[in-house]
Amino acid sequence: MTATGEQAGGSAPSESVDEPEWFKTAVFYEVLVRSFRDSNGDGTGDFQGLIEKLDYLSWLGVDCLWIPPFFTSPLRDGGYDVADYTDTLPEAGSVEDFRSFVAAAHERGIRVIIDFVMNHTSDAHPWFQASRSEPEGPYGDFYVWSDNDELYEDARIIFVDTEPSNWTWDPVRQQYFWHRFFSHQPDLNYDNPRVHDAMLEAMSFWLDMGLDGFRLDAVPYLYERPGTSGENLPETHEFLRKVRRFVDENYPGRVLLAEANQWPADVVDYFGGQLDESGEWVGTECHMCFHFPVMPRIFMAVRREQRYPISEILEQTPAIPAGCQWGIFLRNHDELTLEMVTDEDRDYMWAEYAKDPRMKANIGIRRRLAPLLDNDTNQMELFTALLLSLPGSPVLYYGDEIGMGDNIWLGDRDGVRTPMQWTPDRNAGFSSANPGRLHLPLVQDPVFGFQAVNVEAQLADPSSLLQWTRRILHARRRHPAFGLGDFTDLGGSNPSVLSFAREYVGPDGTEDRLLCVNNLSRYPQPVELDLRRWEGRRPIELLGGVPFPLIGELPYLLTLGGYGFYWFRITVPPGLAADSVSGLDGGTA
Amino acid sequence: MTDQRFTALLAFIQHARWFGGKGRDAQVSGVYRLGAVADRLDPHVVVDLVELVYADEPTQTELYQVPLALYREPEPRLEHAFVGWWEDPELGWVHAYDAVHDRDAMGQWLARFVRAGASPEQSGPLVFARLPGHALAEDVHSTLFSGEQSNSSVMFGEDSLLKLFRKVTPGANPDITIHDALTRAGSAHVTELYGWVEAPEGPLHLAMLQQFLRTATDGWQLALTSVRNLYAEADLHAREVGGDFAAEAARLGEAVAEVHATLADQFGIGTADMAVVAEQMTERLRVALEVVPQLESMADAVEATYARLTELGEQEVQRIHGDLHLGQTLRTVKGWKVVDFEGEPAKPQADRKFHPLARCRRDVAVLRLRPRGGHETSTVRTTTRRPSVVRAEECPRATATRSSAPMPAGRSRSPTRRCWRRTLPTRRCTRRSTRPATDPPGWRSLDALARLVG
Repeated sequence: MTATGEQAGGSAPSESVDEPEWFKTAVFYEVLVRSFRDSNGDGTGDFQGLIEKLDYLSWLGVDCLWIPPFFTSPLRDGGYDVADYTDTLPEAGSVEDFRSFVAAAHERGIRVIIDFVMNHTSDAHPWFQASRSEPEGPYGDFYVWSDNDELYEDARIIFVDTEPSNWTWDPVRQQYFWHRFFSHQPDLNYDNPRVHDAMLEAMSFWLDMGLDGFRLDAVPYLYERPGTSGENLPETHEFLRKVRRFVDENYPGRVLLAEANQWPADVVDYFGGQLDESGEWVGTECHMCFHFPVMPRIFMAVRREQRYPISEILEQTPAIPAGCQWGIFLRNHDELTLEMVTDEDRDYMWAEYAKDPRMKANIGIRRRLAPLLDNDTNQMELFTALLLSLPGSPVLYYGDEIGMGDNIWLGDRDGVRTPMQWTPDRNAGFSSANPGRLHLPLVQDPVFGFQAVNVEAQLADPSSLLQWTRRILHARRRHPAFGLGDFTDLGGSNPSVLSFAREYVGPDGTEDRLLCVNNLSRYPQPVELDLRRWEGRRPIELLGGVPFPLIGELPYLLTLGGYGFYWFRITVPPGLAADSVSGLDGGTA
Repeated sequence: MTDQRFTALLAFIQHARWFGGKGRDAQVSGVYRLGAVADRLDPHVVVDLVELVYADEPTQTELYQVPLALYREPEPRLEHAFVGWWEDPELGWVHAYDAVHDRDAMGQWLARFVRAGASPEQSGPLVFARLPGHALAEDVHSTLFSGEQSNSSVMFGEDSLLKLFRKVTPGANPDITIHDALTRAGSAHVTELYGWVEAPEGPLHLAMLQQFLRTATDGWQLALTSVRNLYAEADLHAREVGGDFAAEAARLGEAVAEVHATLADQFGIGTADMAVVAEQMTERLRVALEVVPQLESMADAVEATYARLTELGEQEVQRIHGDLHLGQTLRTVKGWKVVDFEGEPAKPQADRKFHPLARCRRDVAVLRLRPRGGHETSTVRTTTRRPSVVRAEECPRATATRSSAPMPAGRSRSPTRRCWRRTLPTRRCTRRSTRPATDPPGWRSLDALARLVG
């Protein structure tokens, strides 16, 4: 059916095979190729430009790049409207450019995953054109057609701002077609096995180049059935297991990351936990899933100055099978989505973080991290520290490492997709094109404009957000417990302080025990922590290496500045035999 | 020497944080050994009851529970918990330490609970009882909880919490009986009861073992974060600042409503003659008059307010928390918990069984979320039927008058409710006015009372 396992390029990702669980300790970085660096002066970023900036990303300390769609597309949904799964947008570069990019990233030890849109195509895709004009032809059954618009009426409408129905009339075929998103994005018909084959073939095309995996876009909606919400259906899970088997057999070590914007209790199904022959509970679908509710809860907790929004959602997060990992993020190319909060919480978030109605988009808020946090460096650092220390692999969004702003006057979600700001010079060093030709205008306002916020200035400034982000990423890299460890909420006397333990005992018995303490309030706070589990041990602050007092029987007192946080490693003082230390239960192995 | 033992125990009790008779001249009139926790030495762990008599009230005695760890040689590691050394009637010369500080001693307590299983376990006169449903963690250290006021609490690992009553009165302790009923009924809003200790004669409840909630925060502390936020944004209303407590208050209201509904199920619904209740309140007013002469000018009006209760005749009453304030609530990652069902500690046990006010089931709890001297941020009203949250802006007047502020439409029609809304603050202000005149609640209550009845 497809070319399998053959390495077409010279960029064999041998590490992916040696380290099949690399994604559990990786820091991901989402970068929009068209907005990062334009190498040929046509106003749109491209893969050659991305190659130029790989040294920057390597210096920053990220492990894996996530590239949203760059496929041939009419670009009516930021490229998520794919018109050819195996070709690129000409302005982003050629397939050969992409191949060179993957090779160049691998040379620097950086992996690459790309978006893969499974649920739908653009209406400009040749499959759809064939399907509408030739109902009896080979593509006649590639989409979901119906004579009336009443079928599957229990499925909700996702883009409530623009779409009145999930059905749209096609005047050519004289039938309605089904679409869970925009009306120019018809859903593929997964009841047709030929659609399966076509998708696996397209995936092979990229995996053969050495790609390290896919972020699977909008997976809950692949199938539709009458009387259901059309989300999370068993048939959808069956297809994902088929994809996983295909990847495991032909491309071991590559990762599937699901975008399933659902509650954790439902999302956990996308790991496909099953008992294997040895009785271990292992994942059979996606290696990773995004944990959506964590993000709005972090914002709520800090705005309310109390830890319960975060503590509660982590308490409600189910265990996940072996070989699986959550993906967590603060911001991405989409709106700050509020589907996974209650109505009451959504009203709250809108009131607190989207004071101008233009900041809202669908059921969310279309803003970048820095403007959401009033450009407060202390808050940005606290949020990043939370992102890097809570359970899951963190996903950074390009530009947030320098505190880039947004442009709420651009349409849809383009306001958070403006070009990366490299320098204070023309076009922010993004492109040499005529400024009018840029595919999206640069942010120009006095606070966040590229003259004020750019990489060059922050590289030269040792106390910049960029330099801080790099330091904290490098500190995280030294501690496997952030990616692999257990999570224990430590509570504590002060509701404004979120404290938790991350503990990991490696296969060779080496321990990595971390204590993270976060002040969610703008004011200084004391906290008394119950650290009896580590009695007799000594916390050492991770960034500065300063030893703190020994942990005794009494509550451990710490004080934190406004929005302050501490990361400690918990050490056994020399001369104290490990087995004499209470609480050394080793239960994390 | 008995004297040496009595002197040491008296000094120990008088300096303890949990001692209720601070500043009063007291003598030890007797020490009773309830028994040993285990048949072991070094430490030999015993529970003694120390009877105190006060010079200012020689006809009354108080009993304090003192669990001791007795060692034949000094234990330097426990120096901070040293009570004294004396010739023990059973063991001869011993060094006595406060047992709650001693991991070995508390380990013996835990071992008894573990052995008790689901049926009460007796060895000597101390009975250890367990509730089914929770397997106790065994090999865990005990740690004394430092924040306690009137009792001593000891944590066992991160599994359970032992609350040891210090001042004990014969009879069942409502904290145990109510937790027992609520735990067996599966209430989600209390800490689960795992077991208790009692002396069989009486019965005399000595200690209770509860679920330990690692992630809990005192509700008062949580409300303060909200108030801090409100004060930081002086020009904004409560609902406009990020830390608005209303959502938490609504959740707390649901928790209290559930607990009170379960209490009605478990302990039944009685009736009380409001005339009797009015009489009791008037009696208390007379007591208050002796202490606070300034009340004189308002006494008639207060009495008239109380007298109006009589018109209500028989009213349904039920068991309630009895001393509900934010300090008796815990916010955990699994929602709100209501704790400490002992009732107002100053009241005799018999009074606490049904709320002495026999508050109507219609309006069983009103919690005001207000820092000392500050503005109210939210009010939680909880009935057995449904909770509601009223925000500060909706009832913006001063404390005393706020209780009689108009409720949202359709809620104030009931004459019973109107009558209570006037009576309760009057009673509260009267009671508080008896506190020393230097104490803000004392003089503020007088002002408030004047507005209420004026």
